[in-house]
Amino acid sequence: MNGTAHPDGLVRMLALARPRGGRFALGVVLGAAATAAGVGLLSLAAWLIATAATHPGVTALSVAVVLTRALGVTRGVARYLERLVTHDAALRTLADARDRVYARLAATEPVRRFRSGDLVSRLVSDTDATQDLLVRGLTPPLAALLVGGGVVALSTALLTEGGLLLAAGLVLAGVAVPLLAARAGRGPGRRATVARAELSTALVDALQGAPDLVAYGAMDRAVARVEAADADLTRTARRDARLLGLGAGATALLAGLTLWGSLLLGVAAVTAGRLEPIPLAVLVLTALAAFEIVAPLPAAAARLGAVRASGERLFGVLDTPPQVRPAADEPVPAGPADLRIRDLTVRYDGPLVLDGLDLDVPAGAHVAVVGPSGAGKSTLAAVLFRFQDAEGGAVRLGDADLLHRSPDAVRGVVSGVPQDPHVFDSTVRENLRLARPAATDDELLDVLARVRLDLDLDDPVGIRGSRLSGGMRQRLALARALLTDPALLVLDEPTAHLDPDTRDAVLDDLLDAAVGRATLLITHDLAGLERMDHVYVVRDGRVAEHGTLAELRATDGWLSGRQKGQPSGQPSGLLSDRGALSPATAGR
Amino acid sequence: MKPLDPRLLRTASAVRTHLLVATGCGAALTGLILLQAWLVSRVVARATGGAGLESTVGSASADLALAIAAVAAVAVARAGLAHGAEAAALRSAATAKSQLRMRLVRHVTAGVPRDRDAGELVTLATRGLDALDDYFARYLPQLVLAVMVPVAVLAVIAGADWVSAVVVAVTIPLIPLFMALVGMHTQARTNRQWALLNRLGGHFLDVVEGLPTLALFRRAKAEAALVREVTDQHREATMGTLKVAFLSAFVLEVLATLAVALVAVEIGFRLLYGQVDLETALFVLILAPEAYLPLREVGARFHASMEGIAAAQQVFTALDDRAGVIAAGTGAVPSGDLRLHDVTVRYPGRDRAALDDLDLTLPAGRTTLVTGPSGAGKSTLLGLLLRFVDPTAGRITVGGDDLAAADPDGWRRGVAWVPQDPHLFDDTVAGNIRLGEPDAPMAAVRRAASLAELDDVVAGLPAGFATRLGERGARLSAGQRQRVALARAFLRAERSPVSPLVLLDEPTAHLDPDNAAAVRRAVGRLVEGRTAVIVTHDPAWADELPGDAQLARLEAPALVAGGLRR
Repeated sequence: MNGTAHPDGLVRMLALARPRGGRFALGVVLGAAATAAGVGLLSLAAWLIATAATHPGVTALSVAVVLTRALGVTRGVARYLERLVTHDAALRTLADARDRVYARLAATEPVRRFRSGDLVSRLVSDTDATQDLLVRGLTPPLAALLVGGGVVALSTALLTEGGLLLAAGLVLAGVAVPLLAARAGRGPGRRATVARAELSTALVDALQGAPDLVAYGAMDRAVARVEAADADLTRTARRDARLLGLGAGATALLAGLTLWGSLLLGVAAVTAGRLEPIPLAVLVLTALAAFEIVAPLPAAAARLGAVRASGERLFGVLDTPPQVRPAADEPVPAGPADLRIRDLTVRYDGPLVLDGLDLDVPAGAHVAVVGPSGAGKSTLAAVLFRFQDAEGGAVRLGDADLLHRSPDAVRGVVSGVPQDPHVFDSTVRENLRLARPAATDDELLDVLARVRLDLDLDDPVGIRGSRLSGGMRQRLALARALLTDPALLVLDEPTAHLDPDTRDAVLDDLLDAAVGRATLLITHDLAGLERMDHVYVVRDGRVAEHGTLAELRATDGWLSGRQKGQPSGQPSGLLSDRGALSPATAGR
Repeated sequence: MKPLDPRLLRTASAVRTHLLVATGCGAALTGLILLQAWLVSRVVARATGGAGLESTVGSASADLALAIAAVAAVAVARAGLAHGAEAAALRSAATAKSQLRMRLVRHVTAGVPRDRDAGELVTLATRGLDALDDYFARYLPQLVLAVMVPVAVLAVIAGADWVSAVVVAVTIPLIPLFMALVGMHTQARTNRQWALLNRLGGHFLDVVEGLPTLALFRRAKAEAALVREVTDQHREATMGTLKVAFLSAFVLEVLATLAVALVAVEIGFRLLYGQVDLETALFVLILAPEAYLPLREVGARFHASMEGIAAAQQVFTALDDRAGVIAAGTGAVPSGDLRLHDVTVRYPGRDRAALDDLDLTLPAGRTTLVTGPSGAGKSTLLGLLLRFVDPTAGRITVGGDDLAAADPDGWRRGVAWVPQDPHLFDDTVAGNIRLGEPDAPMAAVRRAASLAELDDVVAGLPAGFATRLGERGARLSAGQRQRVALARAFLRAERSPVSPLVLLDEPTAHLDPDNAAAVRRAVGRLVEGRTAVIVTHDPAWADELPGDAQLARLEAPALVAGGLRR
């Protein structure tokens, strides 16, 4: 909105939508035909009646009679076809836009942006806004321009000043009023947003915090706060209602005054002998019907504003530069190999996140990386998955430096479970075959058994895997990673959102399934470290201490100070989340 | 869905006022439409008949000038009415939304907290109800006009030219009839395709959300073709539905315009044969489209406004949902050993009891560590002690007195609870700690914060205790939020008039080791010498607690082993 150097969001959305020229033009023509039929019907009927009043022969009216009936049908048919054509064009545009947005996202992989689920779903609805651009944003004004031009031309031909008056009325009602209404609405919109944000916060506190409020006897105060916020919002809305009603009043006023002006000019012209009686009737009734042309424009203006806002948000994400520079697409040799990380430094925009990290994962060994939140553990995973470039250092798998190989080459040998792995709304089979499209059912069942997941391949998993429990989702994600048979398996916080009972069982089964394979477990809690060959403690982007768990416990370091009170890591065996599908939403 | 829900009228008085205002405005607008048509036809007919503006004298020209001036007056009046009606409608909408919202909020916050989707309720109470704006400001007034205008126009046309009146009278009822027929057909087809459309529509979101996962498996680029394919399928399915869905509007448009065309032709011929005069013919011609216009508008606004109705119906459904109720005694708050006597809790609509026949004593002044797997009823046990839920069978006594006889608010005043995922409010740190003790002096707040290992956290905040934490305490990490909740519990426990009961639910789940260690130290202080229940899956907590702590293990669904440790 505030004039940035970037091209306007609307212009870029148009480029993204790449209008389907032919269909779009056809839609505009059909829309114009429908509106023109409605206005033309009244103009023609006015001519018919005014002519009939002069009592000519029936034949003089016959053409008009046929035309009148034809227009009566044309309007409905044209409108129906217009809707079909423009919606079809809009849906094709949507397909183009999704195509291009997806291709850009796939090329730049702005993975860090994907941490926020809200942002992703907004990005998708912003993409979908392109379909509104044509149907509700551009077709109405263009059709209005066509018909308005025609109607003004007709009126001008009848009486010059009448035509000019109509043109002025239509432009004011169709362009000036929507613009002014939008400007007048900005203040109320801003005030309502502020008041609504306060109300929303108060509601979140009162409704989501209900147990805490009741337990601490504070519910009355929370409800009073909601009441105050609601009263504020209602007061603001009521006060601004008058401002928001201005548009409706202005349009009605313009329509009425244009009609009045047409009558005045028309009657004056008739008196002066410059206008025949029959054209007078046509002129006046045309002016009466013409405002139908501009009626859809305020809504179209609002729609275009929304599309522009969507465009600005959308391109904010699409313009993210890739986090990984292009690199050689030379494949990395498969098969067991040692991973050696030396002096690895990584930064995003600010200070170094990893600051000279050294770490080894010998072939077949299980290595854990632990440390407080924000120590840079997940950045290490992002580097190994090639979602993020390093600033310096080396990551060698066998003889290959992964930092100088293409992401796809690296991902051929490094796989695993990223934070919050996505489970697609499909079947178990489709989710697994993602990793190896050629896999047979026997191979899939085999890998499910290895992660101790008792599911049917045809079981639907639900949206984001909602029909599976958290532990089952992690098991499925691991099964998927194992199917790629990676030389190095990276598990990034595989138990982060699991309840404590499930956590131990899941971790145990994940490590069982990874036996004999080089595995890097990144975790913020200290469960399951007994099973690791080597443990690295990462703090502030570098290795603070490392060794076997026994060694670390014996030395007086970060880990030994925090092992107390942690679960023993023995599988609890009391409750297992393996097994049948659970309902989509479980109660508390 | 009904266009006007009677519950809406009953619940929100603003709706009744609004209907009255809308009806009044509708009647005035109808009158102005008729007046304008009459004036215009009169001016055109008279001017055509030779009465010019500039004619020297004579009543005809004066009459004409007056009529033209009246058209301007009508224009101004219509504009004023349009503005006033819209503003009044928006005002009514604001009031009605507020009435519905506050009824909803009061209803769901009454009684004990229940398991509800709070996020959904918040959305409903804000954006959901905002959809009522369209319903109030655009749909309802149009509905009033759709009833008034056709009737008035028909009556006036009947007075002027009965043949035209017959054409209009026959076609108008056809419109709702055909729309209903087409609508029913569309509904059946739409319902069939809805599931497919939903699935196809969600696919893009699914793929975009899963992009990092797809990239990891080197499938991101391959998936692009699938995006295209599914979107094309989506388009074909949508178009199939739309072809039928648009039929309803098609019928409306064709009937309305064709009827106007018929009237025009018919009145033209009657004029030709001298059966009516020009003024009447023009009057009928101008009025005929007005009879259909409100119906078309109602049709066009139907879908947008139904979102508002749907939101209102969701509110009514929530209002019908009974609030959580517990047996609320008024007696004094008892003290002493807490005993659960064969307590069973069964939630409505669940097969399995949440807690089955539990017999447990919580000795006063000592800590009880309750462990057990998920679903064993650990949280339900805390719910019972918080008086959020009543036993379905069995009873709870405190020092021999029945807990149900005590005033629940008074009882909770002696309970210091730290939930697994505490809710922090959009308030200052001090305000959050003071949640249960709004009048506590700052010194007490500082002390509670200190006991809860919160000093370094507060020191790191820009305004210390006066820092606002944002929605849900967004400024703090999970472990820091847990410590604020602990400070809250410390403040309550220290200021409790009776010997407090401390309840802790999985104090260190999901915390990183640094935060977990801090929380464990604070919990040790909080339970010391107090009656406390710590619910956790983690038996290692036993090492942290005072020597006289009691260990109880819940197995789904009943207590298997209990007894004194050491």
